[in-house]
Amino acid sequence: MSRVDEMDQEMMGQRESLPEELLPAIRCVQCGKCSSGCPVAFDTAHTPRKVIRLLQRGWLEEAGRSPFLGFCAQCQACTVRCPRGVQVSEVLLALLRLAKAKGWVRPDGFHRSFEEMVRQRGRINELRLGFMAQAGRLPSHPLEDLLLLVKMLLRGKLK
Amino acid sequence: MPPKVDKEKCDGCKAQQEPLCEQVCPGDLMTLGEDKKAYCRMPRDCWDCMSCTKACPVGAIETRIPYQLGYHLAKLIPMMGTNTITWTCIDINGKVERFRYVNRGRLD
Amino acid sequence: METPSSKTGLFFWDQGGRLGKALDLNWLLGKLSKTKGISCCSLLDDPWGPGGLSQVVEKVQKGELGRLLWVGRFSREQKGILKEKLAAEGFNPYLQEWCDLEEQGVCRDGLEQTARNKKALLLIQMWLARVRLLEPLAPVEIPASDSLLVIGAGAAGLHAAVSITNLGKEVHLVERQSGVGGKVASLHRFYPRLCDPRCGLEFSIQALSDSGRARFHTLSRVVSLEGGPGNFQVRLEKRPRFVDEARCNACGECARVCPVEVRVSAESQPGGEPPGLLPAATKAIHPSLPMGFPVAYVVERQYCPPGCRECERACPSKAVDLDQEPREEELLVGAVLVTTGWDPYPLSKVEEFGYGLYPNVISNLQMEGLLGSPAETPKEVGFIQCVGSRDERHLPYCSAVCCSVSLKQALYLKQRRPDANCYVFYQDIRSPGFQEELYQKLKQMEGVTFIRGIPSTVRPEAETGRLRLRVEDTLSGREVNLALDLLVLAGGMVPSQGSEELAQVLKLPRNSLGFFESHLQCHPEESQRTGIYVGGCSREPMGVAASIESAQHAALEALRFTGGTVLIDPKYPVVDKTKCDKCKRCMEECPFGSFYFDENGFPTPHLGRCRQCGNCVGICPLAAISLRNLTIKQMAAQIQAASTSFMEGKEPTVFAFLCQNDAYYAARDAAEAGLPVPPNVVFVKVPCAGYVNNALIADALALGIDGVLIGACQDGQCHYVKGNQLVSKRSDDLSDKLQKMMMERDRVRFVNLEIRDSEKYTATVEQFVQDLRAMGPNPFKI
Repeated sequence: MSRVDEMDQEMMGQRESLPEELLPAIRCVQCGKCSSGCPVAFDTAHTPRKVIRLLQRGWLEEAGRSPFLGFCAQCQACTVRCPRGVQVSEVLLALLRLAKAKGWVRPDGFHRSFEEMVRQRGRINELRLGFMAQAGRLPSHPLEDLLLLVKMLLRGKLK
Repeated sequence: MPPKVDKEKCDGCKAQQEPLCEQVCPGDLMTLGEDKKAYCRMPRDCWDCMSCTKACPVGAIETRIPYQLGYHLAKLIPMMGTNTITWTCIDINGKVERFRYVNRGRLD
Repeated sequence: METPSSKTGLFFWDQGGRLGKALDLNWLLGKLSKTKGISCCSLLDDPWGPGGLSQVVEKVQKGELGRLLWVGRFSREQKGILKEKLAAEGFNPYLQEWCDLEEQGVCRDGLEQTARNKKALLLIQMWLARVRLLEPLAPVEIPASDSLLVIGAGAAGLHAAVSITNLGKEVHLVERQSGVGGKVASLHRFYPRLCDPRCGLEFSIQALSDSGRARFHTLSRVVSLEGGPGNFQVRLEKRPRFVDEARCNACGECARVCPVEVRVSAESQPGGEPPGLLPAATKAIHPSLPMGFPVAYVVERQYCPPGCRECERACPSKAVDLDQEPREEELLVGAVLVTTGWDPYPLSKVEEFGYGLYPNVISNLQMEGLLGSPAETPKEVGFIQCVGSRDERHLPYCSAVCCSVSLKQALYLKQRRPDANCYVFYQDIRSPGFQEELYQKLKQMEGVTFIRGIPSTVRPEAETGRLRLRVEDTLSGREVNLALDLLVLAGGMVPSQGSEELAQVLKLPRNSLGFFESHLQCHPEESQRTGIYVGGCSREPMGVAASIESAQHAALEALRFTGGTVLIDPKYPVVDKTKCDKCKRCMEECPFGSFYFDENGFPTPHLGRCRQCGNCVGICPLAAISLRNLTIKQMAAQIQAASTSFMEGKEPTVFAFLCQNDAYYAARDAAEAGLPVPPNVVFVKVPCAGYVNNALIADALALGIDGVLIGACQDGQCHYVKGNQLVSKRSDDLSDKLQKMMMERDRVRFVNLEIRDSEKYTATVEQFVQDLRAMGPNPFKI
């Protein structure tokens, strides 16, 4: 192993503020290819590159609270493009898990309904899911939703 | 008893024409196997001269002592100097004795 | 030659009482004068004063002394003076040795008087043991041709050749293409003067022609290399040009009648685009490419229609000869310079940018061609940096020039079309030194936008064919969407195909990236084969100016193997043929590939190739190899002399082998600085730690020495590439054996030291002595 590799290892070991599964963020050079290829990159205030930057600087909570995490579709375009071999999707997923564990993100109504239903029955009943998700909220498009409901019933899309 | 080759240490003398143990064995018993490591191909014919043990550059060969003389626990280990050989004898009770001889046979 | 007399003279340089303060010189002198073989043993008055050496000189003149041992502190220069003075009296300089008691720590260690004197006596006896076995040696002359071989006639090779001819030497340039100039000949303009590169190349070619000492071998490759520095035997394979070089004057009548058009492709990438400024197509008979030198035309015979001989008929000088055959030529040269250059990284491998799929995605090399052609300049142009470079999936390194190239090309583009919009997509802009000016100029220019962010994919618009891309402007975090007319990919450099082939033929080691391995820090121009030097991009990606400098540097080093004869120090290895059983380990392990088989099949070192490191001595399982001035027997005798104990009671003794490039200095400086190095250690200097043969360590242990220390260079810093690693593994094997022998394996210890690591040396020895105390005395002690 050359001296540079040795020093690399020493420095990697010193990042105590970052948990192990988020350490690959250190390798990033901020080239932005991940953002450029990401289908949802500009749908929120944060891009994947930016989230990785927050991790590099050790601003874990800000990264965990990033609005981008909810949009990541795990399409892997970022990972495939990264010239530094950073598994970007994996890091973001690990960050999301951490954020959930720390309570920085909380699942919304739809999320909760989904999980609840899976836990109870092991399967999703779309009709029930729709009503559960809306429960406690005024539907934003009541007429359109109703029409859609009828259409879907007629086409056998709901049981 | 035949020599035992440590397959991890043996490098087949980099699979040159003949490994050193093969070159030195007076009975032509050592050779390279398919895995490019040395082995003794006729254990019964070995007469324990230990030339292979002395010649091996990485110390991969060990001679097994016959059971009448001490079996596994007994060991006879040569260490080659520039013109000396030192022998370490370990008997089955674990007693160690060492002998050093000047090699007068060298053509100097 | 008769063996010189064994009568040894021992002379102490007391420096006016300096040694005498620490040691009982009378006792020492008394003991030594009674030693067998010592014919004279005395103190020197003042060796540097008038008549100071007279007592020595007289004895030498009278033939009373065959060998000498000097005891005391002598600097390297002073030793040289002594050697010279005595050589003038006919005394062979290799029949003497110096024993420096001070550097062994004798004068300042914590020993009490008796022990200290005993240690001093022991050290002197060690050196006497060596002196007794010294042989009279003389440097060896090997013949050295006065010509050099340059492989690769690009910018680097041509400029190096000019330097060589300026010094009166002959140079052979071997080039695989039909013409010289390489990649640089296909460039449009150079930074900083924005001049045409052909101007400089033409200048070199003229200089070479005028010198009369340059021979060009175009359409040629090296197929074998034998021999060694001073006298390399090179065999070239020469493809036929089908045109007589002596007759052709490039009038072009042949091309006019030639019925066949041929696509010109990058030679290295058949079917690829022509590099830079080269024409897209020519006739089957065409001028040399990339530059029209040699002047003669060349025929691409594989494209000729069967039976067609129009060019032969048309040529007014009868220069065309369609029946030429390939031929071979042999050359004798003193040294070889490799300047085989680079090839562009195949950008189709970087799939996301659509190179090879979309016609308006081009490489930077092709952009040179576009900028030099009369083609219309597009309006919206993007440059993507680091394509293929700095990328783990492609080339992990930076290709050094692409940033400068893109900046330069953006500048031309704006000059050609002031209303053009240039976008440079980058990670970092590398514009070192004075190139900063260019960068700043461009940053402020209207219509040039630098965006720090690399696009991910490129898609052409169906109707217009323009390229759409999206990128994050990382400095603002905003999305940028663009439609471009042309996309230039700043692609990277890889070693040329010529380099790959050559590596096989010359058996030249390459690093993991495919570039020729060199000792980068101290000797970047050296390769791991003595006499073969490497310059330019075949060594590392670099710009044109740097390539030329690098190649000229290599040429300077190569010159030492020319000029009639080369003197070789008599420290080369000798194989004892009575012991050798041709296992070839020396040949395998020699870091410089110096061994070859002699007529009887014995491995023999080539004196020119050998760097005298002694790794062969260490690796030989039968200890059959010795260096002429440091034989196995001499070393064994020193070890034997060191085996009598000089320490009190049960104190352990340590014998250390220190490599003379780093570890030795660490030890010497430790003594100099008065660091608390335990007195239990005596050391000897070896050329490389790899010299240490297991048999020598075995000797030391068998004779009762408690511990053996091997001091070597740090990994990656060994002057002989890997001597430290070789000996580390060997001593490990021996330690395994020690363990089987019911001895503590830790009695053999290995340490990496850098040149100023005196503290580390001291700590290592301290720890070692402590551990040895705990282990108890060596069971072999009698």
